[in-house]
Amino acid sequence: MTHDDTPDWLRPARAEFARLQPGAEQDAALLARLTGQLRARHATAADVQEPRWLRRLAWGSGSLGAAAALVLCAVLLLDPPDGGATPMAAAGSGFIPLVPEAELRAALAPGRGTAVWLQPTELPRERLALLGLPFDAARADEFVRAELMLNPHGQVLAVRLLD
Amino acid sequence: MSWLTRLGFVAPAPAPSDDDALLARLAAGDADALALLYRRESGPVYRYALALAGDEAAALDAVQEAFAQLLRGPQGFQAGRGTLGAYLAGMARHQLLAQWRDARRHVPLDDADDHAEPTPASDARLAEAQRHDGLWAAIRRLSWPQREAIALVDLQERSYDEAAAIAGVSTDVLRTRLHRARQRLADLLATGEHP
Repeated sequence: MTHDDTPDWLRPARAEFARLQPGAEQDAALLARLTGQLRARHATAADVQEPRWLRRLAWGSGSLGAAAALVLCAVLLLDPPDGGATPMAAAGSGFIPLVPEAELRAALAPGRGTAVWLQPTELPRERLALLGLPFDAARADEFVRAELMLNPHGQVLAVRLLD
Repeated sequence: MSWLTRLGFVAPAPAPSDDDALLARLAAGDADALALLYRRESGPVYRYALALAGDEAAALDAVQEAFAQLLRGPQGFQAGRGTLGAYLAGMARHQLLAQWRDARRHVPLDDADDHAEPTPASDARLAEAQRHDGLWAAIRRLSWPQREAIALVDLQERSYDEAAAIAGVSTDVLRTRLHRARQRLADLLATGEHP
Protein backbone atom coordinates (compact mmCIF):
# COMPACT_ATOMS: atom_id res chain seq x y z
CA MET A 1 0.00 0.00 0.00
CA THR A 2 1.50 3.30 -1.05
CA HIS A 3 1.24 6.21 1.30
CA ASP A 4 0.53 9.35 -0.60
CA ASP A 5 1.54 11.46 2.33
CA THR A 6 5.14 10.25 2.25
CA PRO A 7 7.26 13.30 1.35
CA ASP A 8 8.67 13.27 -2.14
CA TRP A 9 12.20 13.62 -0.87
CA LEU A 10 11.82 10.40 1.10
CA ARG A 11 10.29 8.24 -1.62
CA PRO A 12 13.49 7.49 -3.57
CA ALA A 13 14.93 5.95 -0.40
CA ARG A 14 12.42 3.13 -0.66
CA ALA A 15 14.16 1.49 -3.58
CA GLU A 16 17.52 1.74 -1.89
CA PHE A 17 16.08 0.36 1.33
CA ALA A 18 14.46 -2.53 -0.53
CA ARG A 19 17.83 -3.55 -1.90
CA LEU A 20 19.34 -4.02 1.54
CA GLN A 21 19.82 -7.69 2.28
CA PRO A 22 22.27 -9.91 4.13
CA GLY A 23 25.16 -11.47 2.29
CA ALA A 24 24.38 -14.67 0.42
CA GLU A 25 26.58 -16.74 2.71
CA GLN A 26 25.04 -15.30 5.85
CA ASP A 27 21.60 -15.83 4.43
CA ALA A 28 22.33 -19.47 3.57
CA ALA A 29 23.90 -20.08 6.96
CA LEU A 30 20.90 -18.64 8.74
CA LEU A 31 18.49 -20.79 6.76
CA ALA A 32 20.67 -23.84 7.44
CA ARG A 33 20.58 -23.14 11.17
CA LEU A 34 16.82 -22.81 11.11
CA THR A 35 16.48 -26.01 9.10
CA GLY A 36 18.63 -27.77 11.67
CA GLN A 37 16.41 -26.46 14.46
CA LEU A 38 13.32 -27.66 12.60
CA ARG A 39 14.73 -31.16 12.13
CA ALA A 40 15.97 -31.40 15.70
CA ARG A 41 12.61 -30.26 16.96
CA HIS A 42 10.73 -32.87 15.00
CA ALA A 43 13.17 -35.60 15.88
CA THR A 44 12.47 -34.83 19.52
CA ALA A 45 8.74 -34.67 18.88
CA ALA A 46 8.89 -38.07 17.21
CA ASP A 47 10.52 -39.50 20.31
CA VAL A 48 7.84 -38.01 22.51
CA GLN A 49 5.08 -39.29 20.26
CA GLU A 50 6.31 -42.86 20.37
CA PRO A 51 3.24 -45.01 20.82
CA ARG A 52 2.44 -45.59 24.46
CA TRP A 53 1.93 -49.26 23.87
CA LEU A 54 5.47 -49.50 22.58
CA ARG A 55 6.87 -47.84 25.69
CA ARG A 56 4.69 -50.05 27.84
CA LEU A 57 5.94 -53.04 25.99
CA ALA A 58 9.54 -51.99 26.52
CA TRP A 59 8.78 -51.37 30.17
CA GLY A 60 7.11 -54.71 30.43
CA SER A 61 10.06 -56.42 28.80
CA GLY A 62 12.39 -54.70 31.20
CA SER A 63 10.33 -55.74 34.17
CA LEU A 64 10.18 -59.27 32.92
CA GLY A 65 13.92 -59.31 32.41
CA ALA A 66 14.51 -57.93 35.87
CA ALA A 67 12.22 -60.51 37.39
CA ALA A 68 13.97 -63.25 35.51
CA ALA A 69 17.36 -61.96 36.62
CA LEU A 70 16.21 -61.96 40.25
CA VAL A 71 15.02 -65.50 39.96
CA LEU A 72 18.25 -66.54 38.34
CA CYS A 73 20.25 -64.99 41.15
CA ALA A 74 18.12 -66.75 43.69
CA VAL A 75 18.65 -70.04 41.93
CA LEU A 76 22.38 -69.60 41.70
CA LEU A 77 22.89 -68.36 45.24
CA LEU A 78 20.48 -70.48 47.19
CA ASP A 79 19.71 -74.14 47.32
CA PRO A 80 16.20 -74.71 46.18
CA PRO A 81 14.03 -75.09 49.28
CA ASP A 82 12.36 -78.39 49.55
CA GLY A 83 8.87 -77.07 49.59
CA GLY A 84 9.44 -73.88 47.67
CA ALA A 85 9.44 -75.33 44.23
CA THR A 86 6.25 -75.91 42.41
CA PRO A 87 6.24 -78.95 40.26
CA MET A 88 4.36 -78.86 37.04
CA ALA A 89 1.67 -80.95 38.58
CA ALA A 90 1.07 -78.24 41.16
CA ALA A 91 1.19 -75.62 38.54
CA GLY A 92 -1.72 -77.34 36.96
CA SER A 93 -3.05 -76.46 33.58
CA GLY A 94 -3.56 -73.18 31.92
CA PHE A 95 0.07 -72.53 31.10
CA ILE A 96 0.85 -71.24 27.69
CA PRO A 97 4.19 -72.60 26.45
CA LEU A 98 6.64 -69.99 25.35
CA VAL A 99 9.31 -72.46 24.27
CA PRO A 100 9.09 -75.52 22.02
CA GLU A 101 6.90 -78.13 23.62
CA ALA A 102 9.73 -80.69 23.72
CA GLU A 103 11.84 -78.29 25.74
CA LEU A 104 9.02 -77.65 28.13
CA ARG A 105 8.36 -81.34 28.46
CA ALA A 106 12.04 -82.01 29.20
CA ALA A 107 12.04 -79.35 31.90
CA LEU A 108 9.03 -80.96 33.51
CA ALA A 109 10.33 -84.53 33.16
CA PRO A 110 10.02 -86.71 36.32
CA GLY A 111 12.90 -86.08 38.66
CA ARG A 112 13.41 -82.56 37.44
CA GLY A 113 10.27 -81.09 38.82
CA THR A 114 12.13 -79.13 41.45
CA ALA A 115 14.04 -77.34 38.73
CA VAL A 116 11.00 -75.28 37.72
CA TRP A 117 9.81 -72.22 39.59
CA LEU A 118 6.77 -70.07 39.35
CA GLN A 119 7.17 -66.35 39.51
CA PRO A 120 4.11 -64.19 40.10
CA THR A 121 4.10 -61.02 38.05
CA GLU A 122 1.91 -58.53 36.27
CA LEU A 123 1.91 -58.12 32.56
CA PRO A 124 0.64 -55.24 30.46
CA ARG A 125 -2.46 -56.39 28.67
CA GLU A 126 -0.83 -55.38 25.43
CA ARG A 127 1.44 -58.35 25.79
CA LEU A 128 -1.52 -60.64 25.52
CA ALA A 129 -1.61 -59.88 21.83
CA LEU A 130 1.99 -61.02 21.53
CA LEU A 131 0.99 -64.29 23.14
CA GLY A 132 -1.72 -64.75 20.56
CA LEU A 133 -4.48 -64.19 23.10
CA PRO A 134 -7.56 -62.03 22.74
CA PHE A 135 -6.65 -58.44 23.52
CA ASP A 136 -8.96 -55.53 24.32
CA ALA A 137 -7.31 -52.34 23.08
CA ALA A 138 -9.54 -50.25 25.33
CA ARG A 139 -7.87 -51.85 28.36
CA ALA A 140 -4.36 -51.70 26.99
CA ASP A 141 -3.19 -49.57 29.91
CA GLU A 142 -4.20 -52.15 32.48
CA PHE A 143 -2.13 -54.95 33.87
CA VAL A 144 -3.07 -58.56 34.27
CA ARG A 145 -1.82 -60.89 37.00
CA ALA A 146 0.13 -63.85 35.73
CA GLU A 147 2.59 -66.54 36.70
CA LEU A 148 5.77 -67.18 34.85
CA MET A 149 7.31 -70.63 34.76
CA LEU A 150 11.09 -70.39 34.78
CA ASN A 151 13.88 -72.90 34.60
CA PRO A 152 17.01 -72.59 36.79
CA HIS A 153 18.63 -70.41 34.17
CA GLY A 154 15.89 -67.85 34.43
CA GLN A 155 14.42 -68.71 31.08
CA VAL A 156 10.69 -68.22 30.89
CA LEU A 157 9.15 -71.48 29.78
CA ALA A 158 5.47 -70.72 30.05
CA VAL A 159 3.02 -68.17 31.31
CA ARG A 160 -0.35 -68.49 32.98
CA LEU A 161 -2.89 -65.72 33.33
CA LEU A 162 -4.59 -65.49 36.67
CA ASP A 163 -7.19 -62.76 36.00
CA MET B 1 -16.84 -32.11 -1.41
CA SER B 2 -19.95 -33.56 0.20
CA TRP B 3 -23.26 -33.92 -1.64
CA LEU B 4 -24.75 -31.27 0.65
CA THR B 5 -22.12 -28.83 -0.49
CA ARG B 6 -22.64 -29.77 -4.12
CA LEU B 7 -26.34 -29.11 -3.79
CA GLY B 8 -25.70 -25.79 -2.17
CA PHE B 9 -27.08 -26.64 1.24
CA VAL B 10 -23.75 -26.15 2.91
CA ALA B 11 -21.34 -23.42 1.99
CA PRO B 12 -17.94 -24.78 1.06
CA ALA B 13 -15.23 -24.21 3.61
CA PRO B 14 -12.94 -21.36 2.70
CA ALA B 15 -9.78 -22.49 1.01
CA PRO B 16 -6.80 -22.27 3.32
CA SER B 17 -4.52 -19.39 2.51
CA ASP B 18 -1.05 -19.91 1.23
CA ASP B 19 0.24 -19.00 4.68
CA ASP B 20 -1.97 -21.58 6.33
CA ALA B 21 -0.82 -24.31 3.98
CA LEU B 22 2.83 -23.44 4.45
CA LEU B 23 2.48 -23.20 8.21
CA ALA B 24 0.76 -26.55 8.32
CA ARG B 25 3.65 -28.05 6.40
CA LEU B 26 6.07 -26.28 8.71
CA ALA B 27 4.33 -27.71 11.75
CA ALA B 28 4.78 -31.14 10.21
CA GLY B 29 8.52 -30.56 9.90
CA ASP B 30 8.67 -29.81 6.18
CA ALA B 31 12.02 -28.11 5.52
CA ASP B 32 10.90 -27.04 2.04
CA ALA B 33 8.06 -25.07 3.57
CA LEU B 34 10.54 -23.37 5.87
CA ALA B 35 12.74 -22.46 2.92
CA LEU B 36 9.77 -21.02 1.04
CA LEU B 37 8.63 -18.97 4.00
CA TYR B 38 12.14 -17.80 4.69
CA ARG B 39 12.74 -16.69 1.11
CA ARG B 40 9.47 -14.82 1.07
CA GLU B 41 9.50 -13.15 4.45
CA SER B 42 13.06 -12.79 5.67
CA GLY B 43 13.99 -9.80 3.49
CA PRO B 44 11.46 -7.32 4.87
CA VAL B 45 12.04 -8.56 8.41
CA TYR B 46 15.79 -8.14 7.98
CA ARG B 47 15.45 -4.60 6.62
CA TYR B 48 13.09 -3.60 9.39
CA ALA B 49 15.46 -5.03 12.01
CA LEU B 50 18.39 -3.34 10.32
CA ALA B 51 16.63 0.00 10.36
CA LEU B 52 16.01 -0.37 14.08
CA ALA B 53 19.35 -1.85 15.07
CA GLY B 54 21.61 -0.12 12.59
CA ASP B 55 23.76 -3.19 12.92
CA GLU B 56 23.80 -6.12 10.53
CA ALA B 57 24.70 -8.78 13.09
CA ALA B 58 21.91 -7.69 15.42
CA ALA B 59 19.48 -7.64 12.51
CA LEU B 60 20.43 -11.17 11.52
CA ASP B 61 20.04 -12.36 15.10
CA ALA B 62 16.60 -10.81 15.20
CA VAL B 63 15.59 -12.49 11.95
CA GLN B 64 16.81 -15.84 13.24
CA GLU B 65 14.93 -15.45 16.51
CA ALA B 66 11.76 -14.44 14.70
CA PHE B 67 11.82 -17.56 12.55
CA ALA B 68 12.88 -19.71 15.49
CA GLN B 69 9.80 -18.49 17.34
CA LEU B 70 7.72 -19.48 14.36
CA LEU B 71 9.26 -22.96 14.40
CA ARG B 72 8.57 -23.33 18.10
CA GLY B 73 4.94 -22.38 17.75
CA PRO B 74 3.51 -21.88 14.28
CA GLN B 75 0.09 -21.70 15.91
CA GLY B 76 1.17 -18.44 17.52
CA PHE B 77 0.47 -16.69 14.26
CA GLN B 78 -3.19 -15.87 13.78
CA ALA B 79 -4.07 -14.74 10.29
CA GLY B 80 -6.96 -12.65 11.55
CA ARG B 81 -4.60 -10.39 13.48
CA GLY B 82 -2.32 -9.43 10.61
CA THR B 83 0.04 -10.76 8.00
CA LEU B 84 2.71 -13.32 8.64
CA GLY B 85 5.29 -10.70 7.71
CA ALA B 86 3.97 -8.38 10.39
CA TYR B 87 4.00 -11.22 12.92
CA LEU B 88 7.63 -12.00 12.15
CA ALA B 89 8.56 -8.33 12.27
CA GLY B 90 6.97 -8.13 15.70
CA MET B 91 9.03 -11.12 16.84
CA ALA B 92 12.19 -9.48 15.53
CA ARG B 93 11.31 -6.25 17.32
CA HIS B 94 10.79 -8.13 20.55
CA GLN B 95 14.18 -9.77 20.17
CA LEU B 96 15.93 -6.47 19.54
CA LEU B 97 14.30 -4.87 22.55
CA ALA B 98 15.32 -7.81 24.72
CA GLN B 99 18.89 -7.62 23.46
CA TRP B 100 19.17 -3.99 24.25
CA ARG B 101 17.55 -4.29 27.61
CA ASP B 102 19.92 -7.10 28.49
CA ALA B 103 22.83 -4.93 27.46
CA ARG B 104 21.40 -2.12 29.62
CA ARG B 105 21.42 0.15 26.69
CA HIS B 106 19.08 3.06 26.70
CA VAL B 107 16.22 2.51 24.33
CA PRO B 108 14.35 5.77 24.04
CA LEU B 109 10.86 4.40 23.82
CA ASP B 110 9.45 7.78 24.65
CA ASP B 111 9.53 10.39 21.95
CA ALA B 112 12.14 12.45 23.73
CA ASP B 113 13.31 14.39 20.74
CA ASP B 114 9.94 14.76 19.16
CA HIS B 115 9.51 18.33 20.13
CA ALA B 116 12.44 19.89 18.33
CA GLU B 117 11.35 22.76 16.19
CA PRO B 118 11.67 21.86 12.54
CA THR B 119 13.72 24.11 10.36
CA PRO B 120 12.23 24.94 6.99
CA ALA B 121 14.16 23.22 4.25
CA SER B 122 13.83 23.35 0.53
CA ASP B 123 13.19 20.16 -1.44
CA ALA B 124 16.35 20.90 -3.38
CA ARG B 125 18.50 20.80 -0.27
CA LEU B 126 16.80 17.64 0.95
CA ALA B 127 17.34 15.93 -2.38
CA GLU B 128 20.97 16.95 -2.35
CA ALA B 129 21.42 15.58 1.14
CA GLN B 130 19.86 12.30 0.11
CA ARG B 131 22.19 11.94 -2.86
CA HIS B 132 25.10 12.10 -0.48
CA ASP B 133 23.77 9.37 1.77
CA GLY B 134 22.98 11.91 4.37
CA LEU B 135 19.52 10.52 4.63
CA TRP B 136 20.68 7.26 6.14
CA ALA B 137 22.93 8.99 8.58
CA ALA B 138 20.06 11.22 9.59
CA ILE B 139 17.67 8.29 9.98
CA ARG B 140 20.14 6.68 12.34
CA ARG B 141 19.97 9.77 14.52
CA LEU B 142 16.24 9.47 15.02
CA SER B 143 14.87 7.95 18.18
CA TRP B 144 13.78 4.31 18.07
CA PRO B 145 10.06 5.02 17.70
CA GLN B 146 10.61 7.61 15.01
CA ARG B 147 13.06 5.43 13.09
CA GLU B 148 10.62 2.57 13.36
CA ALA B 149 7.75 4.65 12.03
CA ILE B 150 9.78 5.88 9.07
CA ALA B 151 11.04 2.37 8.28
CA LEU B 152 7.65 0.72 8.46
CA VAL B 153 5.54 3.28 6.66
CA ASP B 154 7.73 5.36 4.41
CA LEU B 155 10.37 2.81 3.50
CA GLN B 156 8.50 -0.49 3.65
CA GLU B 157 5.16 0.96 2.57
CA ARG B 158 3.19 -0.89 5.17
CA SER B 159 -0.28 0.30 6.02
CA TYR B 160 -0.72 2.42 9.13
CA ASP B 161 -2.67 -0.35 10.78
CA GLU B 162 -0.02 -2.95 10.12
CA ALA B 163 2.79 -0.63 11.19
CA ALA B 164 0.93 0.22 14.37
CA ALA B 165 0.40 -3.47 15.11
CA ILE B 166 4.10 -4.21 14.70
CA ALA B 167 5.12 -1.25 16.83
CA GLY B 168 2.57 -2.18 19.45
CA VAL B 169 0.82 1.19 19.47
CA SER B 170 -2.46 2.59 18.25
CA THR B 171 -2.75 3.89 14.73
CA ASP B 172 -3.08 7.43 16.04
CA VAL B 173 0.15 7.16 18.00
CA LEU B 174 1.87 5.73 14.97
CA ARG B 175 0.67 8.62 12.83
CA THR B 176 1.90 11.12 15.38
CA ARG B 177 5.29 9.46 15.60
CA LEU B 178 5.56 9.38 11.84
CA HIS B 179 4.67 13.02 11.50
CA ARG B 180 7.28 14.03 14.05
CA ALA B 181 9.84 11.70 12.55
CA ARG B 182 9.48 13.31 9.15
CA GLN B 183 9.81 16.75 10.65
CA ARG B 184 12.85 15.74 12.64
CA LEU B 185 14.43 14.05 9.64
CA ALA B 186 13.86 17.04 7.44
CA ASP B 187 15.39 19.23 10.11
CA LEU B 188 18.47 17.06 10.42
CA LEU B 189 18.95 17.00 6.68
CA ALA B 190 18.43 20.72 6.31
CA THR B 191 20.84 21.73 9.02
CA GLY B 192 23.37 19.08 8.23
CA GLU B 193 23.23 17.72 11.77
CA HIS B 194 24.35 14.29 10.81
CA PRO B 195 27.76 12.70 10.46
